[in-house]
Amino acid sequence: MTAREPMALQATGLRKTFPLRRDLIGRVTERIVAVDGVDLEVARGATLGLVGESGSGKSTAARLAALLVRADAGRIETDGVDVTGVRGSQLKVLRSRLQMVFQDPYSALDPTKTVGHAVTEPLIVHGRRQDDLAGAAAALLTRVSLDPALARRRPEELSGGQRQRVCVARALALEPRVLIADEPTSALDLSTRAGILNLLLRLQQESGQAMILVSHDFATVQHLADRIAVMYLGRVVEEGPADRIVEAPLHPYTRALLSAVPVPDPTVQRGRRRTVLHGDPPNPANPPTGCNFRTRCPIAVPECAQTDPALRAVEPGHRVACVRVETKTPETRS
Amino acid sequence: MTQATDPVLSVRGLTIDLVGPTRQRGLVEDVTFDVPQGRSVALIGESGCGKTLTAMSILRLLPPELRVTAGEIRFAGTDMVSASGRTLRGIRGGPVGMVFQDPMSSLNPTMTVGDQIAEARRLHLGESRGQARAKARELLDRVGIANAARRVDVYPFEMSGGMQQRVMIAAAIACEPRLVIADEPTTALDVTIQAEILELLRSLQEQMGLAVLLVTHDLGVVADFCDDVVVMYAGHVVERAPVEPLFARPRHPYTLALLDSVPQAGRARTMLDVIPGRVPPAGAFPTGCRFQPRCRFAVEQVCAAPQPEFEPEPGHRCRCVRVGTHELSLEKVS
Repeated sequence: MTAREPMALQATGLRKTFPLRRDLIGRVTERIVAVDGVDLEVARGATLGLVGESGSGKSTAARLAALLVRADAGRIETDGVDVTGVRGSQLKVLRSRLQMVFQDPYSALDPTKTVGHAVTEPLIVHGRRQDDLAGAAAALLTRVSLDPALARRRPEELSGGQRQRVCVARALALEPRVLIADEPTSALDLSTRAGILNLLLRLQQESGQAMILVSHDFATVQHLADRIAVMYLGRVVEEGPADRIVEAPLHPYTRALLSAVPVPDPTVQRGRRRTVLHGDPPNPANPPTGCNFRTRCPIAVPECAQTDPALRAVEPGHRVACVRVETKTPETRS
Repeated sequence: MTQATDPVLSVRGLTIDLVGPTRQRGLVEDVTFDVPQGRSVALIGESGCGKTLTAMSILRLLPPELRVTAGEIRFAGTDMVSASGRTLRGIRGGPVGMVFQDPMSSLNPTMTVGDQIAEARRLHLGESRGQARAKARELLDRVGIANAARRVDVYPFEMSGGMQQRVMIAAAIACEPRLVIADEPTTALDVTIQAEILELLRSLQEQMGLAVLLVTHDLGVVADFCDDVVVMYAGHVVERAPVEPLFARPRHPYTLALLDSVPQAGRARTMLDVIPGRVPPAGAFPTGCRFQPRCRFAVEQVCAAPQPEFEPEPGHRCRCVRVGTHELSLEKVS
């Protein structure tokens, strides 16, 4: 990718460890590497889908990119400006440009505050607006297709889908450049999920903010994302255009993951061949040598225990971290 | 397709009311379906449609304020509605196994997994501690837990979610049941683990001729695993049919709407069809067709009347007067 226009968000070499065990006087004796050298980038107005199983580090990576959690190493740029070490009042300004929507709309809203307060609080905190907060609340609620009259209600009176719309409205209050949504539909029902997906799609078309969508639900990511990054045990193992990843996944993990997602069509689903992965993901505190995935990989060779594969481009804009995947030359590409 | 033998489970006209001061009628009303031997039947619908209530009522696991006020539940000839406590205890965990959504809160944290599985054998089959333990080891092995001899002595918290769910399944099949009731057994799990669990259930079904009642809201799982589908909406069964015709030619507007709300391949970044409104709360159910206020095909006079069950093709039943009288054909719509 040539960076002619700066990315809305670009993170390189993100790394984050968490202490796992401490000795008697509190020194860390064991660490868990949650995110290990992850690069993420989202172009303006585009959506990056971040997928992986639980424990893959996708949520931590998103929080690092949102500057909610500080990375141990790595560099984060927004619109071409390095913001890695930003602190204090500058960080506050930056926060207004990176907003998050969380998975559980039940715990993300203060039960003692009204919906109107929830959506306008960012405006107050960032000193954007002091007068006519009611008008601002009404406008925000309308934008997410909620009845402005709900502003006087409290979260408990709302359904799950309505609450998630409130969370989206709140995240949009400051007109962020990047919206980071961590499993925004996982706690929701089928038909409600469709409504939130439509909302995210429409808002992006209207306002052109970039989006990072973190999800374990491939169907959701596939529906919204332009590009997809697949994470396994703290690493990105494959990254590329959404349609290429979905139609022709190259990394054996991505293949297994995709083949495990059942297609909601019995005739299609029953004709599919599934790559069944055996065993659970390894303990991230003690990852395997070489390639992280080799212990569950159906095509692992002895070499995989020695080499730690780096992400490399196998076709334009499509990168894979696997020694067994061959680089496609234009002639061999179908 | 259907066998001459009686189904393992037959539910006829099941109605569940909330009794007491806040009395509400028809939380579940006139629900009828069968689970034949060796088949998997899915119970699907949005949250609040009564699928879990229906599943729980089979083993009489409803909270005391909810009562079966009409209808019949027959399991292998036994009338479950009038069965004595003693009979029920003999059936629960014996010829009928149960698997719940969240293994961590269903397993006893103070007992080793081996003891929990063995408990069922000792209780139902009167086996000695040693016999039951040996059997527990065998069962752990059978559900694909490596190193079963060592794992019988671990506690649930020492296992991953996928492993815990296997333990639940091992306990559910411990006494060679004829029927397993699984309420969202894979919802809390990653897709690769989900695929393994479904694979496991399928192989057990083939080996033991097990009948499975699967409560789920994941249409992919239904397409993958189930033979027959029962679609519920607001306490009513609106449609039931074998899986292929149900997905290929849904007859009820609700089923059609549900299928259309799921992201599909080739339709990325397009708006999904959303069912307007939400499931009415119990007590506010409309008369006649309960889906009518949200239905795009509703005709007031017709839909407010009670909806008998029609059988537009053999084995495919639908509760919509407009479809039943050929006034409406969804095939022309979709």
